[in-house]
Amino acid sequence: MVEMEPSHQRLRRLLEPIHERTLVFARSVSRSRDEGDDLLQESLLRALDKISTLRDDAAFKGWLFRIIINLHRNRSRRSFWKRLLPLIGNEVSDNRAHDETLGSVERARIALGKLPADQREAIVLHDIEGWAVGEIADLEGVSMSAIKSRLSRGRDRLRDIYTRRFGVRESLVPKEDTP
Amino acid sequence: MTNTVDNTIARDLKSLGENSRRDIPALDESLRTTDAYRDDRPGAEARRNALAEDRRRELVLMPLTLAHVFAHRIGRIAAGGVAIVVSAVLMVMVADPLLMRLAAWVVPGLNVGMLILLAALVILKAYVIASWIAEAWFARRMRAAIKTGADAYQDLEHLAQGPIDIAQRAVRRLDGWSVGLFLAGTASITLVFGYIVLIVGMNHTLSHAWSMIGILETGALERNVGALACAVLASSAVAALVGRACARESTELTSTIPRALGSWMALIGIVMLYNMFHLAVGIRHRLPSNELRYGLALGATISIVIPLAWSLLFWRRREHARIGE
Repeated sequence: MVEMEPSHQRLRRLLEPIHERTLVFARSVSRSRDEGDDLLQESLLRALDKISTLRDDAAFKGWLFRIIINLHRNRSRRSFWKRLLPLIGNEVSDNRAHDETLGSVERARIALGKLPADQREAIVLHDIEGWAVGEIADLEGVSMSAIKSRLSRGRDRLRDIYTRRFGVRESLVPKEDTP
Repeated sequence: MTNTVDNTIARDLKSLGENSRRDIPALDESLRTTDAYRDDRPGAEARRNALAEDRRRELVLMPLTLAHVFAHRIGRIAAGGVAIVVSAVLMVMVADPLLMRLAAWVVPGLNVGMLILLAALVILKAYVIASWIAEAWFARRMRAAIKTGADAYQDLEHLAQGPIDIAQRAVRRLDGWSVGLFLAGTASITLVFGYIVLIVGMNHTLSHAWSMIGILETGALERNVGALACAVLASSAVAALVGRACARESTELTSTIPRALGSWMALIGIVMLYNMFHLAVGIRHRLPSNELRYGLALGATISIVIPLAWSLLFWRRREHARIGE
């Protein structure tokens, strides 16, 4: 009779090779490092709870990233309603966005925070984590053209935020087409 | 060559990546905390209670517009579906004069006016009843969204989605269907009744304008049923395309078809409508050839579908503004 591997041992074994990547992703899409750590923690909790439903170990990476993405979207939606209904939450004011002396990490976090969750995830996965468009499309369960469109719209919006809010000026050199 | 803004963004994203890679805790540390959370039952219950309180407050403050839009969208889906069924039944009756005679025998003095009135009543009733049912379902679903049970962990999972998220998703899911089915239904029924009114009007004097008895003898109605079927199928295909584009737009945020139909394309429809009206008046004096009849059916489809789609998409934009999308 085959002995069943306990859930936490299985999670540990599967998480080991991708632990750093998941944490980097969670930290980069969140509004702060602590929030990112918390996001990964909650994702691992959910993963531990549901790991018995995962049949194929090879699919673990995509499965765990999908959990992180779903939780991240839930949190993004929640914070939208907290901003709209200030009685419910204690959202921090974002006046810092107008400061032109911000450090590059903080500036990137504020700008990414202004994007819709799907565009933010696509940009972090592609530009920071180095995933291919096809891999992101498989992960999100959408077409490659949809991911390309998210990347393009997200970059346009980032350019707009950097120009308008952070006062970064366009140079006179013509812009090169991005892939 | 890249410009300054792109360089700054690339540099900042790189810095963010490097910052995120710093101080990565050991794997065991992450998992130990996970285990600690699992055993923290009182903590989970406290978090569940706080979250449930937030969700209840969220439900109290939820804009009523979401419920209204949901109910109206369901109503439109039902009305569109019934309109499609009614136009299909009418087309079968037009294709087979025996059925039409049977209907005239069951309802003595059956005429076009009565048919239009009956169809309008059935469609309106479907709209009202479906809206009522949708409102009741929506209220029950919202109550279920904030319900808690004995298992704190299960409740935390369940409460992770707030009532506003659930309502917005439900409303968004209906978007494509409410546009597509309603457009297909309205276009089909307008085409079928437009055709019947045109043929009956051509064959009768004003005093008998709405009577259908004489027209059955001439067989004029069933003679053009092929062109009519083509027009109805074409309008349904366009409606399916527009509905699909709207459904995709709710996830992808931009789509060419709703944007085009919602703007200048509507002008083409209005011009076609005007021309088709003149053509229909002209047919009274000279009967068109068989090929021209199919052309007329296609023209009628375009002239009906485009202004209808424009109106529907205009209404949809208003709904989106009301629910804050």
